[in-house]
Amino acid sequence: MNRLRGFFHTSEAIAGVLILALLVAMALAAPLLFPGDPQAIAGPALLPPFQDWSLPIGTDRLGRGVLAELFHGARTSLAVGLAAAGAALVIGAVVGTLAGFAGGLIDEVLMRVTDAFQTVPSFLLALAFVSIVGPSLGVVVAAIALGTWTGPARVARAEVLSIRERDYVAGALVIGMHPLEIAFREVLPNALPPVLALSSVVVAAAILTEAALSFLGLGDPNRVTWGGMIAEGRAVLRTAPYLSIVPGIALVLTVLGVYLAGEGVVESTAVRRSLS
Amino acid sequence: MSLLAVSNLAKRYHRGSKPFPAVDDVSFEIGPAETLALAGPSGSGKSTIARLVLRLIEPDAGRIEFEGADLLALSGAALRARRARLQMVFQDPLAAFNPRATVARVLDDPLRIHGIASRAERPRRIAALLERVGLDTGLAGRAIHEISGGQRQRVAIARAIATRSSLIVLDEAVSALDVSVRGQILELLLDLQRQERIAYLFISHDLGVIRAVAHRVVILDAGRIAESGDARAVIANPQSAIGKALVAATPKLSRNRP
Amino acid sequence: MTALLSIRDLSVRYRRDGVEVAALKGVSLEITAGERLAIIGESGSGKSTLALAVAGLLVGSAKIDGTVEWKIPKSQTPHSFAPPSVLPDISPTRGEISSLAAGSPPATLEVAESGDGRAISPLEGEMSGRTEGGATERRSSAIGKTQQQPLLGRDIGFVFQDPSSSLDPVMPIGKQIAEVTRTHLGLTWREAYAKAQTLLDRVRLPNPEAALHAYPHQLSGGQKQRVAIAAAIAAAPRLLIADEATSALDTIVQAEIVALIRRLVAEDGMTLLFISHDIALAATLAERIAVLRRGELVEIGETRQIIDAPRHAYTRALLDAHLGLDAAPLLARQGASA
Repeated sequence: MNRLRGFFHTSEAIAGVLILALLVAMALAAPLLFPGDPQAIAGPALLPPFQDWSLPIGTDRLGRGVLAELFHGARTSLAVGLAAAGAALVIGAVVGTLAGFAGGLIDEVLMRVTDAFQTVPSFLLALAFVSIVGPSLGVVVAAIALGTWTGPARVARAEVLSIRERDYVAGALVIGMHPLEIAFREVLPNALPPVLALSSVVVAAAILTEAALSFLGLGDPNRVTWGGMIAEGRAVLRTAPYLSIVPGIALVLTVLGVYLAGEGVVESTAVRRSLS
Repeated sequence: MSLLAVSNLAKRYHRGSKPFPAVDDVSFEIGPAETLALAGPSGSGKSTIARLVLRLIEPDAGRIEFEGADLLALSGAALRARRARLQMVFQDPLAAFNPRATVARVLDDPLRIHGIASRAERPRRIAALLERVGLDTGLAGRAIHEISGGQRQRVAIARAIATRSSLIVLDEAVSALDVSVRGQILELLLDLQRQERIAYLFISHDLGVIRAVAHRVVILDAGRIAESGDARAVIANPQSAIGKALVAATPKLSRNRP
Repeated sequence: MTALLSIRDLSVRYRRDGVEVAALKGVSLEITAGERLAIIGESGSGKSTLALAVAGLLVGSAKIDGTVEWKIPKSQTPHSFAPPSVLPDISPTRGEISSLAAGSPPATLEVAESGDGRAISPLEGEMSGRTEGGATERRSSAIGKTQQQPLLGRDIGFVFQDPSSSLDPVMPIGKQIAEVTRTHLGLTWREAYAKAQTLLDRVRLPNPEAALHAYPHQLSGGQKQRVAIAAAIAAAPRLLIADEATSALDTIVQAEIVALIRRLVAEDGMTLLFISHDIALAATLAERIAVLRRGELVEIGETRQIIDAPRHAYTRALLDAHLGLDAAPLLARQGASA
């Protein structure tokens, strides 16, 4: 109750939530509004927007409906963004907790591995990974997660280091709890809030990385993606700019929505923290 | 035979570059159902000794024998199993529990970990433990942060006796409580000692409390034992400088009852 | 026997998790100029709220009824409006005590009783209030404009339980004390530093000249509390409020700090408001004791009368619960009954 009130305290947060709700609605409604293959030819090629109301924002070079592509692209963007961010947060939280709680050699090894991943630009890593393994949805998700888990890992480790010294961890040791159970059942849940605060950045980065991979032709070829749509429109940028602009705007709005909503969550939890 | 025998225990910390002895050549014994108090100013090493005895930190030297076994030789599963008999109650009962825990979970953990009761049996055992420490069994479902400080400390004691421990380390366990609650908790501890023959390592800076509940006292100063002996005798007539200073500094309430 | 301030029917309510909690319920008492008055009570008794109310440090979201009326003569020292950064609690704009009408800025902090020695100290609230943007809104609606309003820092010195959070960790302690005298007494830096050194000497900090340049983390808990006391008395306040100022210290250091407070109060002719959960400690220091319980004033009287002939059953219970060096040990009582 309090959290909700805190969450909707800022108009930015409300805007963010509305944008995200719209996107989710688009993604969910895509197969209902545009049944069938969005990559099938629906009309004449390069039909400009607002000409034919069955194809409201026109068609691309192959005569595919842009609106249908946009809706189906929302599915891919959200699915890949959320899955990759989720994977990155889980890997990061687990690695960070193990490193912070175990300390010593395990900490040293895990953090050097983290360093190694962090020093390679995450986009290059994703690019290399996809070009070796071959583009498919799962590979793209894995490729993005591979480059983004280090941030959450560092934050989780820092939090675990401070929680490790608290009395209740000593209390759990005293009753004979196994160190792994202490790490994951007692410490990790309490270390999560600052890690989750990173989620908006991670999700936004994942969505952008996915779009960039698709733009370079390394997305799943069997799915419509906004990045792919932009790349597709590039060839006819002068004659049909809307082909790049429309998915571009969708991308900007999505990232904006994720950021704003994420900030709202962080702020509301910060308020709760200062109150408790 | 003594329950706990600590001999020549030592622990150094490094403050900056120079090592400073937190615990220096400390030896003492505790018998079954006995209360030994550790007293001393802050920095005298009381809490470090508590943590050493519980194997929360490792000593630099010395020997700790508990129930006839060399506690320092134990590790892994053997140490975890032995912990059932050697428990602790912390000063701040709120900090001593996972902030997300409920009363039931706090008491369920030791029963589960040491295989004391089956899953089906545990709720009954938890209720019995709550009753044993004078709490309403309806409290089981409550979150730890919802109950009062005194109730929390009772839950902490219930957790410490859940595994039929023979020694409980009480690290300033009543220092943060209101005086009226403190009296009840001390009565509970003494009652448990008589009924279950539990020994206490009672760490406190308050000589008044020590005198009320402890059989023997060890007074520490800068990590070393300054003096030790019968609690009431030592406090009535301290021999060491630090003992005298502690007695002199304790606020006296000279009541002339009309 | 002139009254320094008179508290009439003071009630304070906080909102906590959407529920209103009454911290003080209609408390009335007078503080005589030059006396040592102890306020004792257990956690939740409202003793810290009373101290904060007298100092004008209650959070803006607290609802306040009743009056805290000062009977001090016109101060000779000039007003200075430079906000000091020494201590978050010494701000001229916050120090006004008044018949406090309820204002309602958004709740930003929570003040908890600090009775059990571990709960959130009011100072932490203060600090978090400051970090959120400097001037946390505090009540400043003054009644009698004709009446000289006391300034926290100049007319009231406040010593908190936890000196680690009341001292700025990144400022040398000499500067922290010098800022108080510069702000409230209008001294130059040179004079202020000289005064700070005298103050550190008065609170018996070893080697005061070197200590001027020390940072709080280089001092022990007892020494930090001495510095906090030096800052509190720097501007020669009429009233010194010590809110559980010795609770976080061990017995020996506690006795030293109590002796220090006693000496400083006597030397400067200050009035002392000593807030404590420990009736025996209060009795060693105070001439009068007020007993609070759940926000109500249970009884108030001369220390000897409170200790020897308490009128209220609660006071008797507090006295009986005290475990002194002369009390009958529980162990023996139990042994006899076993």
